[in-house]
Formats: sequence, structure tokens, C-alpha cells
Amino acid sequence: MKDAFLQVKQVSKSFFGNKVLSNVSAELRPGEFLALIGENGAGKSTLINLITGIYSYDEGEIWINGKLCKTITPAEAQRLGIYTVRQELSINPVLTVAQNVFLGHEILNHGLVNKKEMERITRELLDAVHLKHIDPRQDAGTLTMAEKQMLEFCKAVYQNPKLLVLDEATSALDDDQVEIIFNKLRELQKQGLMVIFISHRLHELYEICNIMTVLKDGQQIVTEPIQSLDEDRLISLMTGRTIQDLFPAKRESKKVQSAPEIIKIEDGTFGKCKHIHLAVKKGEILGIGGLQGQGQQTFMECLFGIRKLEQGAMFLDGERIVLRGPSDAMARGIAYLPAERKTEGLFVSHPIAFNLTFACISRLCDFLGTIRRKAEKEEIDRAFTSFSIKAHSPNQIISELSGGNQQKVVLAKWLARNPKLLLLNEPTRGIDVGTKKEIYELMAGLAGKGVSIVMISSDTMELIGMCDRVITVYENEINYELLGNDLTEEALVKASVFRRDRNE
Amino acid sequence: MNEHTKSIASLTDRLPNQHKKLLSVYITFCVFLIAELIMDPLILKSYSRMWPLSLQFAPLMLCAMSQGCIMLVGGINLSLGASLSLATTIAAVTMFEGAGGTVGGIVATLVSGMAIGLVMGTVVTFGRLPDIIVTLAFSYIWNGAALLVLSKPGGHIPSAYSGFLQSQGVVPFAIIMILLLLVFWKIIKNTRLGINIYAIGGNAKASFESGIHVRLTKILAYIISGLFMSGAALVLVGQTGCGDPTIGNAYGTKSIAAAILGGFSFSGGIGQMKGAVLGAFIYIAIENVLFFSGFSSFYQYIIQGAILIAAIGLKVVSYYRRGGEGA
Repeated sequence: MKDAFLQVKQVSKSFFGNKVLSNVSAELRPGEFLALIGENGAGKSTLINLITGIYSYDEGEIWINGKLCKTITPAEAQRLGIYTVRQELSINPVLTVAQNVFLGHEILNHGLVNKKEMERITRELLDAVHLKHIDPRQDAGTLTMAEKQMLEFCKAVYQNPKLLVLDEATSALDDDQVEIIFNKLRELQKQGLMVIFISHRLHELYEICNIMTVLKDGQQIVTEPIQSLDEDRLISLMTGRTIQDLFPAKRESKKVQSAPEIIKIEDGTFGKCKHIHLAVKKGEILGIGGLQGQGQQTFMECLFGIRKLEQGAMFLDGERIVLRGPSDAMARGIAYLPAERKTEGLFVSHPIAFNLTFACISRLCDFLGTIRRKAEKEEIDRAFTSFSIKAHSPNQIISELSGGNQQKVVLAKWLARNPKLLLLNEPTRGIDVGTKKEIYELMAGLAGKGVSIVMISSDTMELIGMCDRVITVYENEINYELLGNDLTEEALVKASVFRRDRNE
Repeated sequence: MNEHTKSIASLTDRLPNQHKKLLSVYITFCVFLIAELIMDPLILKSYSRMWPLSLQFAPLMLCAMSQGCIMLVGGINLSLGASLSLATTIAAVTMFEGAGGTVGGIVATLVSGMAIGLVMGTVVTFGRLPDIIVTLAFSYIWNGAALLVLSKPGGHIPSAYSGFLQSQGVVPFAIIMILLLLVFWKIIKNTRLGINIYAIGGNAKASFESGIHVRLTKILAYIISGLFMSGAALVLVGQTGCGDPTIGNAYGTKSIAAAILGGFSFSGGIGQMKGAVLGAFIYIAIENVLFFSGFSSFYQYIIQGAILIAAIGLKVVSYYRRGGEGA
């Protein structure tokens, strides 16, 4: 048996005391293609970031080509033959296609860049992946997403890598383009190329990889030859948790679904989403699930008026409306809690009191427009007690609070407006379990009072535990809708990773 | 895309890439070139008018190139005016009569210009501080330093040097200097350094992951910027015959405006040196046209500001248009 090129031994990594990877091991020999699989946040990207030198690891050892690499930089990893093609593209929009391919490895001629030669080689690389229409001299910023992704691939392959890391590197490609890349990979496999492949398209992993490692919550569940892991077993390995008593008791599904619709989009087109039908019942908690970045955010943006409805109609309380923008949505009783708490949801350098009353300040003003201090204080006290915000005083600067308490302030801020539709984007991301529970109870309480909630979450358990109904989004389309007893973890994971057969 | 824009697009498609990007700058340039010629018809009548004109235009052209260098790596240099003042005072105290003294002074000025760039670039990159804050802070430092070197306009510029700068040969010296610097930049652009400067302005994180030394590249961009700036100082002292600790003040914000007019972008990675030169021409031509048109100088300032907003606004609009089409 050939010696392993890459050996990852019992590696762990924490961020801010949060263990995201613990005791993960892996081995890769020439010609082996490893599939990394796991739910959102399972630690796949962290693992490859350790191998490619973006992060350093806390415990364990990584051996590359028989050498212990304690800390490596991306440049050193490349010298060792490890190249990455990423989902978030590293194509430089201001450089030409050829300059992108050779960035950091330009062909020099007496210190000057040999443009002709670089353009000639780029031409060959582009031809090899059937991109004959692209000119090596054109700006890379003019390419489409798929073309950029192919270009990234060309760029990595030109470096003659020993190990190629593909992090969702096929996410923007169509089947033909994927096939072109796979053929190239198979050809290189014979010369000993190794691949680590992360993809949410399971069938692609089955097509090209020979071993598979399943990660869950930063732990390595299993590493086996891919033939011995069929899809059913895979799903149960990826999930297999039980719902703890973190979540409040659920209401009867029939009762919730029989309530009147509060908001409805009919045959809506917005951004990349086309012909969307979506309705939310009064007092319902609707979850939007699916793999990250499939267009969930766009749904929220449409409901909050950030994105205009290009086609179709929107109804609020049965009345046809057009949302002219976020302030219009707010005036109609819609509130949106963004995912990026620090940049979109809070004034981090201001006191809690300022943040709490900001969204409802006009209600607290007298007829002259000055703030009635008494009313303001009442409002703040009410928020502090009903949300049990843990802080010394309302004058404390908000950035000094824990993530959970910050989130409570954001929620309190929006709820002060008594919305009838609450849009939550990742409401519990980066929040400790205790506070999570409080937020869940708050949500259940609101829903009980008839407030409708739409929630995006990448936490499968949260969607199952909290939502009356979950839709999963796959490539900007509603893929599955799960409710009642169908809403199980297995079903949800399946609904996230497999595209529904349109002829079903 | 409608028919009209399509036909324009097919016309521009035939242009080489770098000229295509500067198309709007070229058009503006032509407009103001014609305006300048109408307002100042002496240029056409007497070739000797070229010398004073080139001396009027050259300092800002060099300053715009200097500013452009920093804008390419995604920064902005608010200290350019102050460092320009400092460089003129250094020139005025290091230059002496005679060939050796003059050349020595020129070298000293160029070296100190590069040193100014080195210091700021190092603080920006190793302090991980925003360019705008660091260069603002340094504008005070360079102002103070300039006043330390010369508390009032003075020093000595060899008359032979001033005479040479204004001597009427075939082509004005200032124009030759700018052409030489454009060639110098063309060479830089065709080295790894040049590509890296554009690359880190376009996407610093991805450049780092491609193994580019981001800090070193940024510092080198600051040094080249300092070189262009000291070139402007050398032209200025030749014109005025002395060093002046406040002469640069006017050039600070003008250089930013000229670079923007010349097609540079605040976000970095976009812009060409010939654009900076044309941008500076356009800026001064606007000033000249307004001057000759006889408006009171108060109105001139206001109109100047409005033109700048219009120029930048047009660029932003066209940027979003293109972005909108792509998505």
C-alpha cells in the first residue's frame, strides 16, 4: 500500500471556546477521493481550512507528505501541492482571465510578465473545459458564476496539485459542466491526484469519490468506503439526535393550519426565485430550511420589502398589497430580525436603552416630537422584565452583553412595535443553550397570541422543535413542505439535500 | 439592453480592453480639450504657450498618479498635499548651484518622497489601520515637518534648474517627465508587482490565499506613490524657484478629484495611470474654463463641486447598471 500523503491525527479546533471540531482524523493516499459530508455547521469547512492553512489547529497533528505541519500558511500549503477550489470564489474581478489563472505564479521573462505565453496556456486550459467563447484577455469580473467556478478549477489544475480540495466547487455548475470536470479529475486520478470533495449534491459524491467521512457537530461519525454507505444509512448517520426538552410543547397541527392566512405570495418572482407560492397562517411558525445559500434569504427580503416582487401578487390579511420598502413593511406590521445581529440589527456602540426604543421612538414622543422620558422608561422597564435581559442597567453599552442578551434586545426592539408578522433570520445563531430556550418560549408565546413567525434556520433541530410547518429551499425553489407528523429530522435532512423529482 | 446601447457596445467591443475602460474618460477629455482651446485660442496660435501650460498641468497630473497608486490598493492618501509641501522644502534645502548640487538635490527629494511612502505604507499595513485615518494623521505630521524645514517660503533652487524646466526645447520638459513616468508605470504593470497591486485592490483576501504578499505589495505601492509625489514637488520648485511649506495644500483634495475623474475607483483595483493624467487635465480644464467664462470665483467653486458630483455620480450609476445586468 502506498504511503499516505495526508494524515490528520486527532485534530481539534475551537473558536471563542466553542469546539467546532474534535478529534477528527483522516488519511489520504495517492488516487483516493474523499467525500466530506455533514449537515450545515458540522465542521467540514473548518477541517479543510486547517488542511489548507487558513486556520491553525489547537490539538492533534497534521502530516503532509511525511512532514509534521504544525502551522502552515496558504502559500506553504500550495508549495506542498495542496490547492483549493472554493464555493465563495476567489476570482479577482479586476484582473483578466489569464492574470487570474497565473496570479502568484506568473511566467516571467527577465522580470517582466510574459503575457503572450500566459494567454496561450490559458487558452489551452479554457479549451480543455469547453469554454471556447472566453477570451483570456477579458476581465474575470465579466464571467458568469459557473464560468468563474470553471476558471477556478482550471487555475487549480494548472498548478499540478497533489491534493485538490473542492469546497462546494460545483455548486454553480450544470450537469454537463460537472461531467467535464469529473472526466478531468478521473484522468488525473490515474496520475495519483487526491481530492477532498465537499458537495451538497450527494449523487456527485457517489459518482466520483471512493471514501466518505461523515461529520456531525464537529465529531467524526464514520469513515468508510463509499460503497458501504447507502443513502439511507448516510442520512441516519448525519442525524440521529433526539429532541431534548429544549423546545416548548407543540400545538396541534390541524388547528394551526385551519387559521386564516395572514400573508400570501401568489406566483411570485423575486430575484432568482421564480413562481413562488407561499402562505403563512395566523399564529403559525413557518420554518424555511434547506442547505445554506439556496435562496432562503431572498424569501425574507421579499416578505420585508427589501426585494421587490417582480411578478405575481402579495396579500396581507386578504388585501392585495405592494411593499414599497422596509419602512412600508414595518408600517404594515411586519418586523424583520436580520441574521447579522452586529451589523444589521443593533447599534453596537450605543446603550441598551437606545437600541430598545429606536424602532418605536415615534410612539414615545409627544406632539412636539420630543421624547417623553417617562414613557420611554416604562417601555424599557417592560422590555427588561418581559425579556429578562441580563444587564447592569439600561445605559450599558450593548456590545458588552452576551450574544444571547443582545439577541433578546433585538427581539424586544421589534416586538415593541407589536408586529403581526415576525421574520426571524437565524434567531439563535451563536447563542448559548439557556438563552436559546428562553427565545423559543418567547416565540411560542407570541405564536399563541396570534403573531405569525417566519424563521430561517440552519439548525435542523430548531426547525423541527419550533415550527408548525417547514418548507425547504433548493436552488431558489421550494423543494418540500413538511408539517405535522411528517416533520422529522430524517425527512427534513432528506428534503434539504435531495432535489424533489418534478414528475413525482 | 436596447438597440441603441447595443450598437454602441458593438463599437466599443473592437477597442482593446484597457481603452474600453477609459472610454468615458477619453470622451470627457476631448470635450474639455476643445473647451480649453476655445477659451484659450493662444495655444493654437503660438506653440510657446505649451511651456507655461505644461507647467500648470504637470504637478496635478503627477499628484493624480500618486493618488491613483494608493487608490489601486484600495486606500486613499489624505496627506498628499502636506507631503508635497514637505518635498518642496526638502528640494529647496538640498539643491545647490552646479550640476552636482542640482542632481544631488533631485535625488534627495525623490528618495525622501519614497521614504514618506514607506513610512505610511508600513504604518497602514503593520498597524492594520485604515488608510484614511493613517494618512489623515500623517498630513499633520508632514505639515509640521515641512514648517520645521522651512518656516516660510524660501530655500534655494538653482536658477539653472528652473531655467532648464522652462527652457524652450522641442517638447516641454514636464511633458517628457510625465511620458517617462507613464512608461515606468507600464513596465511596473508588466511585472509581478504590478499585477499584485491590481490584485490586492480587487480582492485582498483571495490574493492572500493565492500566496501574494499583501503587505509588501501595499508598501511598495505607497513607495511608488511617494515617487510620483516627489516628481510633482520637483516640477513645482522649478516653477516657483523656492520651497514652500504650504504650497501642497491645494493639491490634496484636487488629486483625489482628478483620480476619480480619470477613472479610478475607491474600491480599489480599478484605474490606469493614463487615466490619472487625463483626469488631472480635465480638472484643470474645468477650472480654466470657469475662470475664462468670467463667473465670480464663488460661483466657480460651487460649479466645480457640482461637476465633480455629476462625474462621480455618472460612474456609480453606470457601475450599478452593469452590476444589474450581470445578476
